[in-house]
Amino acid sequence: MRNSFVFILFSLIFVLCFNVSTAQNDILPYKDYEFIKYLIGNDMKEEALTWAKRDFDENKYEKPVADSVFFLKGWAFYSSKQLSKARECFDKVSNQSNMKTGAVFFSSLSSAYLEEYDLGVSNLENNKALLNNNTELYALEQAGFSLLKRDLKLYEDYSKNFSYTTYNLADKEKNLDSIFFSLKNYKKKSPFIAASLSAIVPGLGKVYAGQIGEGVSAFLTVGSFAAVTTENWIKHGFLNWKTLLFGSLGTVFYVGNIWGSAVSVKIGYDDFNEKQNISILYNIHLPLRNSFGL
Amino acid sequence: MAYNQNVFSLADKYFEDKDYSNAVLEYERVYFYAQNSETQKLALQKKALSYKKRGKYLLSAQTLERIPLYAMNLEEKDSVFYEKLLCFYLADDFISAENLLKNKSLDLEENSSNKTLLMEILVYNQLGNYSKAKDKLSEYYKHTSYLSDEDKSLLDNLYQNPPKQKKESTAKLLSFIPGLGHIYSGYWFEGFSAFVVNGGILAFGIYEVWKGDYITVWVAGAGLLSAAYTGQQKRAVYLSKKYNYLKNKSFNNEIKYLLLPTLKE
Repeated sequence: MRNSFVFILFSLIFVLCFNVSTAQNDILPYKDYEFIKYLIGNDMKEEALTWAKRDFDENKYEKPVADSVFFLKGWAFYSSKQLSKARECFDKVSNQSNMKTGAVFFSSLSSAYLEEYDLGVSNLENNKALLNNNTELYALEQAGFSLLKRDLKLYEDYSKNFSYTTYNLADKEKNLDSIFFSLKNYKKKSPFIAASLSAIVPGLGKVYAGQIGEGVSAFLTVGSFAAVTTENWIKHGFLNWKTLLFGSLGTVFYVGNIWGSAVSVKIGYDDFNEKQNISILYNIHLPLRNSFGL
Repeated sequence: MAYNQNVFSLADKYFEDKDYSNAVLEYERVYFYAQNSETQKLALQKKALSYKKRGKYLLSAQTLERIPLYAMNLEEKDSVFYEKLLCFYLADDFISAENLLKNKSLDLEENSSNKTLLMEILVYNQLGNYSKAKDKLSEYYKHTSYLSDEDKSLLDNLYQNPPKQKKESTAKLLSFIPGLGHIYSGYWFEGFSAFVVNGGILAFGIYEVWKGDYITVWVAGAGLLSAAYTGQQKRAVYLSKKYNYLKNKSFNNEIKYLLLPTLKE
């Protein structure tokens, strides 16, 4: 009997010691909210990320505590641009949490940055009931997604909910409208026309693509080679080494310029789209940061 | 001791286990929750050391910058100053190291430890400020008994003939004659090549003028010559920088070879 008691006592001590050691390596959620806020606020992303990467057994804690940990982890990953992991953590925040609204918006925003627009939109739609108190913000985010997907008709539908007066949203709504008009009025240029123009007058295709400086430079380069080739051809004949050398070089530049003009139209289009996307993401990110950020 | 050792136990455990990422985080946590400035100071020092162990020297120096120096005694101030200087040196951030030296307080200047003096010599060497490095070395002699007379004599000889710096402006000016800037920096073959190439293009241009092919002269001659001429000027400036870098490196390595063993002291 006495031996059994001693055995149980030692077992208990062992289990308690083990738990203490585990708890020390744990994420310490009760204390961490202000600390992680401080880390992120002071740009100590690496430290926040180290914290976020630690194991966390949500079953050991009450739901509100687990929710706050998931939200903080989401933020830490989001701040370090680890967006898939951020979304994963934001999605784990339970519906009962008062952080759920922010978590839904930031999960969608992570999807937007990852260019997984459909996932972001469905996340917003699936949680629409939870976002009742933020209808205008919801409309702004959905409008942003519509622009990212280049669905201008859908944007017009969502933008009907813009009041243009709400603090924190008014500027962003106007900015999105301005992006909408840029996208609507953008005239897509043809690579074929650019190439044809450069074939007729070297550099003209680049001017058509909006790169005036490069167009002038191409015109001068090809023109100079043409002039040298012509001079040598007239004075020394077609088979003179200088005629052949400068003629060949000029031809390479001429053909290269035609190809470059066609490509520059595509590059110009991609640049335009990229700039618009950056601007859209900026305008849907800021209101969320101001409303739900740490 | 005004701090509670227990608050460091977890962070210290990570540090002992060489898990420096977690140690950095936990030392920051200690700093955040610390009740007094002593604990905060120690937490930042330990955090900086963790960064240093990870090879993140700039972050280590930046962490040390957060320690307020006003409440420290001279020995502590010197220790923090030394660590900062060492981290900037190891991070190859000599501009920050120079700024740190410029802003050194008078009390520290008069009471530098041996290791700080040693670091200052190395930093001034790296900056090419050999006269200042020599001054610091003279000061170092007074404090150390580890250097033998033979080593002192070798060091003095080295500082009597520090590497002469090639001026970038002179290299550029001399390259008015193609290749001369290269030769000034000690690159004879490259200088000769640059002269031949530029001379060849010029000769081609003159020949074309003589033949009356003016458009060819204008486009091929002038265009090529302009590219080759400005190119060799830039190269001459680059070579003068390369010369200085290599000479300084070789000189500094000799100094380091003689001085660093004295750190054992």
